[in-house]
Amino acid sequence: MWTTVALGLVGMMVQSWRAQVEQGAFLRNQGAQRYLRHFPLPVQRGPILDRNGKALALSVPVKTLWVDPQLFKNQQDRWSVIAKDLGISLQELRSRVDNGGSHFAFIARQIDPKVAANITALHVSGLYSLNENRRYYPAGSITAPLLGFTNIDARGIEGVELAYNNWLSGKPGEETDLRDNHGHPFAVLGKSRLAEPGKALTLSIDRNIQYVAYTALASAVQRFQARSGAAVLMDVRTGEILAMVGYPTFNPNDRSDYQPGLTNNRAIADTFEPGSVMKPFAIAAALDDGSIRPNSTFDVNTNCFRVAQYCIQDDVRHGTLDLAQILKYSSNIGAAKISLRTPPADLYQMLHQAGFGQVSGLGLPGETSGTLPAWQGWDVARRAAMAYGYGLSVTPLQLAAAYGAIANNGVYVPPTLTRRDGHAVTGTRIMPSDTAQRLQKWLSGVTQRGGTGFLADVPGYTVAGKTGTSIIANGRGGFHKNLVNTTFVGFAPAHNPQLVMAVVVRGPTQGWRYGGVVAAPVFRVTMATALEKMNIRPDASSRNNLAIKPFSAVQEQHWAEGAGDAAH
Amino acid sequence: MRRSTVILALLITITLLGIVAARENTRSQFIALQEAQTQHFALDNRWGQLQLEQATLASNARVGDIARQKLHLSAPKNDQIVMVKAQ
Repeated sequence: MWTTVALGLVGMMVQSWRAQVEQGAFLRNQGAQRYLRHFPLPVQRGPILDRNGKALALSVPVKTLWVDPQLFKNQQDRWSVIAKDLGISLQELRSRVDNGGSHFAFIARQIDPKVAANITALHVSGLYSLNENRRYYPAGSITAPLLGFTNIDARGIEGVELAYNNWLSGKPGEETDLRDNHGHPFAVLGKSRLAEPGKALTLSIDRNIQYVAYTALASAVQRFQARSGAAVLMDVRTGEILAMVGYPTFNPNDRSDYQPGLTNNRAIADTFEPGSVMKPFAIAAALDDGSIRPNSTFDVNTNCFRVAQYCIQDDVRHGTLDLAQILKYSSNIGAAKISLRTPPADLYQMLHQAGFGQVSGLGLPGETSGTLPAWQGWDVARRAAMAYGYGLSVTPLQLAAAYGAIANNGVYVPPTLTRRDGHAVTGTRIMPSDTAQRLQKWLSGVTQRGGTGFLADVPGYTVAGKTGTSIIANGRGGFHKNLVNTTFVGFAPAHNPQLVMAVVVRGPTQGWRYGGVVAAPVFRVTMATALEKMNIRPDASSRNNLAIKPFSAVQEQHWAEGAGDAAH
Repeated sequence: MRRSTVILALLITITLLGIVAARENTRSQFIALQEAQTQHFALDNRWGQLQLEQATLASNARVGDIARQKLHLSAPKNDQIVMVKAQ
């Protein structure tokens, strides 16, 4: 008998050795899992601010209500009160409870804390509340495609919210509690890890300029009944983007009418054949390799300049034009003649260095590179077409940055969305400074009397720029009959450029569909505000301003299509 | 009874009282923590509402409408602007 007792004792000792020492950690852990609860502490997502510290995106605390259906279903007499407070029907509440798991179901997510407080005050067992944050965008659709949005779990899924998600997110904290069977905590165990709030993100955007750019663009798209529009305004010296807008767009604060196509940031995602706005780069490439001289002139006096099987035409027939006039009246024949004299590798090199055919390095999701085919594949027709902007596709941002290089005396500065705060800017020289200065002077002729861009003239400032009107390809090797892209890209003040802006309006269907008529006024309105807001000194007498003087409609149409003041 | 037994009994009583005191302390601290957390949420909430209110009141469209319609303001024309040299 004693042997049996001794064996039993030994058995117990072995077993307790196993439980206490060998498996001790595991068993303690298993026990803890049954009575301890780890609760995440909500973390606030960092705000997104404009360059002056004004809020563009904020996180606001809200409440989420959830239930344990097994407990909550014993309280059906209270359901009608809860449904009424939530503003939903009893059936809706029932389906929300049934749609959850066996121990967890959301009955209201991210609601006003006051409403939630009324309901939790009822002390219904099985009903709990959680603190959460909800994202709110004060500027609404004005900044929507740029900022993107977050999903309901506060993770950025588009735009700046996605690109800077790690910076903005922060780290949620954690707390270990003992809770009773109703889920109410009665003790906190150990040290809770505090939540690290997300960091604030300061963008280079100026909220006021963004607002003016958006309203001007939206009214142009509506007035000319266009399909869409996009615009980018950039600081020439630093590459800081002051405004980036698209239209039509969506309301980021109410996503019930969510349509996927509207969330695209058109300024970086929409590509198009740029048309005449590429002419300055063809001229720069030809000047740089000595193919033409600054005082070269070109005979464009023909209705059809034949290149291979194609007929290159100008809207209006001119005689002999110099380089300034080719830009001012936007002569396709002149540009084609220049390009045919230039070795294609040199034109390609110029366009490539100016940023075409590659993403800008802005870091935003959804940015497209456009296309710039390698020069080895260019036939003679392609060589001519490249000069006036067909055969390649670009984004509005690329146009703004490339013109920024002309405005910055030949140095290309990569665009950025964050404030530089005086950090050194590393640019690349893409053309000699005297070529850039010549282009600045010639391009300022475009916005003067008789130029195609006279409607871009800003009162009190000199403006340089270029219009573009390109027929949209139909994707079957031909072109749409009546569908055009209208563009204006320019910078001001022309004598000492500070700001550059690109405006693209796609598919206008009303009125005269020229870049100088549709897109140039968007430039004028936005640039006028931006120059003032950035404290840039006026450099011209406002008396010379063309846009505010009444001209006959016939005269204006002549100018817009490139006829100038020439007698015909 | 031996002296050591008495001392042990005393020590045990003191320890038990200590446990009671510690529990009581924990409980009151926990209540204070919960109150502070509630207050934190309420303040956070208020701050969020104020930020929203500020952003809504300062929205460009609203300020522009008030300036134009109520206060009859307009942006100065270029010939109304006088440039002065900063010293």
